Amino acid sequence: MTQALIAKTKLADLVSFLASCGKVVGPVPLGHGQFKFAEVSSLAEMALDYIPTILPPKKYFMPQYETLLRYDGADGQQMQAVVEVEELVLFGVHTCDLAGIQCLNVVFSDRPRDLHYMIRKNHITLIGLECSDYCDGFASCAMLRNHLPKGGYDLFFSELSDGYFVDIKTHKGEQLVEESGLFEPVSDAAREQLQELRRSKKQIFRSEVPIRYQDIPRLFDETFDSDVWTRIGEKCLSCGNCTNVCPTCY
Amino acid sequence: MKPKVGFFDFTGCEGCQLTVLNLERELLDLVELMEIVEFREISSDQGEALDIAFVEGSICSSAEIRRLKAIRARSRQLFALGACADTTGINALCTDRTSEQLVGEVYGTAVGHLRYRHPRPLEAFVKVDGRVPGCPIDGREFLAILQSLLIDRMPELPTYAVCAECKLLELPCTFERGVVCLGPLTRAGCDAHCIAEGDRCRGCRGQVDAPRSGPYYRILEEHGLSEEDILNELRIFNLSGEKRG
Amino acid sequence: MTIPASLYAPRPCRLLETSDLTPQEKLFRLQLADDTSLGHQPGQFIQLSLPGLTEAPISIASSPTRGPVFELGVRRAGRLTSALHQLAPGATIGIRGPFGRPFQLDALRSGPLLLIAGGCGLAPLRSLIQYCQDRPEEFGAVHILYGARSPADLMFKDDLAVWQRSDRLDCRTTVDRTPAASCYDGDTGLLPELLSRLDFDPTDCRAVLVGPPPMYRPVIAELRRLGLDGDRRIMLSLERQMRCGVGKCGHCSIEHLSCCSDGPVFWLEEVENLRGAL
Repeated sequence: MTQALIAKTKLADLVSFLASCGKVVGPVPLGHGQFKFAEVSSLAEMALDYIPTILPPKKYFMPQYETLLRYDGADGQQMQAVVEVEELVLFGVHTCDLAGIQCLNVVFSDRPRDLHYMIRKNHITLIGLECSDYCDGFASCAMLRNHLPKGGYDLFFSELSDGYFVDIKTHKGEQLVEESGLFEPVSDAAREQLQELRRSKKQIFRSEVPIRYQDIPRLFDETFDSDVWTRIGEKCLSCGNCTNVCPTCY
Repeated sequence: MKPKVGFFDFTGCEGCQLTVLNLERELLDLVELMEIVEFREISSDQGEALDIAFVEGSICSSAEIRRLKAIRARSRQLFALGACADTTGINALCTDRTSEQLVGEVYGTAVGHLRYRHPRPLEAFVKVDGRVPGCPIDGREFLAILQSLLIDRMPELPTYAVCAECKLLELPCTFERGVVCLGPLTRAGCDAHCIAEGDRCRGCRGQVDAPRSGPYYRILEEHGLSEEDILNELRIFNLSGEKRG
Repeated sequence: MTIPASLYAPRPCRLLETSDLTPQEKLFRLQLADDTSLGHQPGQFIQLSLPGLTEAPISIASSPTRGPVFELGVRRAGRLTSALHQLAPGATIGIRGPFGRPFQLDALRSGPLLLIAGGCGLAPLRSLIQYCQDRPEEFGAVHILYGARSPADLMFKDDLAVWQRSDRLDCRTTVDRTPAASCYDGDTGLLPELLSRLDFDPTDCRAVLVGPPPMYRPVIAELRRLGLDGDRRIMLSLERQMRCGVGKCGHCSIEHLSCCSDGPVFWLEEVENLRGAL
């Protein structure tokens, strides 16, 4: 089974099922139009129509602070490498954040592999959620073609009229679908609805900046000495928050 | 031998010393590791040589200068404890009047013998080896600094701003609710305590090493603050501030 | 959970011996605590650490041909290196590595070699010089040119004396200034001047440069003037703030390259046109 369907009425049961198995993290509202990924126990705590959270989900893949090594000073500096890890389900991750996580995967799985990252990643189940429309006016996902799913998840949910079309990417995702008992086989009507969603997204999502995707690396290269960077630099507060909130920077 | 540590206070509210005393859970462990030889809030003056002196409060009189210099002379390391000692803190609010005016307003004209100087930070009179910023200090940070000193390592304050710390805690920005905040200029280390409690940052920990004030003032102007408003913001804890960039 | 191997776990090393190189620099002789050999190649570096302090990238100053004991020449510069300078033999030091791309030995075996070092740059180059000393049959003529600020700043003076006496090596030094009362008998002036007076055959000659950033461009210009033009003629080792050592963290990026894993040794043409490389 590579695809499945879940009724909207069963989504709350799914979250409860996941929470009964372990820690579930999803987008929760903070007020003032802000959101963050935090532990939840029910669907009601989440806001699935969120704008990007203050910190991206990279905080679960590479926490700001983590213990890498333990040692006893009396023991001749013999270091023991450790990974702080817990089973985690990330629910409702948008395609922009999935793309960010995929970038991190590339860096840390590149040899020599970072075992701390790889082990932690293997304990995280990613459940993606498709955006049917723009989350807000500042999005630039279409420019980078990340408004559509490009993998990097275990399960991926696309909203239909009364259910979610679920793409199953991994064995872990498949197990989850089977064990929950809440999913049903995909119907032709659901397939048609997914096609319709993608057709409608084609109209909605247009490159937000009038440049061609394949030109981006060249543009950055050629404008390295441009005044535009000086002007942007003049606004910089040197707070370092761009790195903190970026889905890929660290 | 356990290092000898002393706590001293000058002009201030003694809230920073109280913060130390409030570390009840850790205090008994600390006493195992060091010998507190002086702490006016809990004991009397002994006058012996010290490894570390934590000094609270601003310096406001010749007598205070003499006492501070004497503490410096018998201390291997001297640390400013809290904003009043570190940057003059809130005490600097009085510098818009002459010392005569201040004495007159508080004590009246009858008390002619009072000799009062404008408050200054410790650094104006003695070498300061390090500091515990904040009004009041952050108890956790004090413990971290003390821990460093006890293993003979010079503690380091964060070089980044409260704003970054606040983001890492995922607190919604105060500007989202139309409230001005000094987080972008102020040195981190407090875990954005005030913002987490629903307030905003007023800059009690002093500024980061190279604050980008110019761009920040422009943001404040975009939020409708006049030059005088901006000065008032900085006046609370960062009076000396700097010229507009 | 504990894991058997981590890129970030230092291995304990025993400090066997220290000696003064200059007033600011000391030589440290080390061996892994489990007595295995480090497994490095000339030009690589390690990350050295002391608990409670930090880590710093240090070039390996000895050749793998000299057995499991390896040497580091370290300048006293910051907290870590100051603490290191205080250590006595028997102390334990943490190291990670060896890291980085070494000198490309295969490319250096074809003809005469110009090994050019400025200041601390002699430390990494010494590993290559020792290698050439120990495997003389593999290499052509070896010219060593070493520049320092003053005679007192010349590192590895004992080695320099041996190299200068050696029939197989041509070793010259130059200093910016010679104090009046000095018994220094080498050259005075900058490296390009010393280079211009050198008698060597540029055909198939390769140059290896290690030194402070201001040294590179003038020396490269002189090498080109002397006929070392074209690709794969000049090899250099760059110094950056390496942190992770394995190309992950980005601290030592030079455009798209990581100095720690793509370098620190590069052919000139690989980095010459990168912003901020030289």
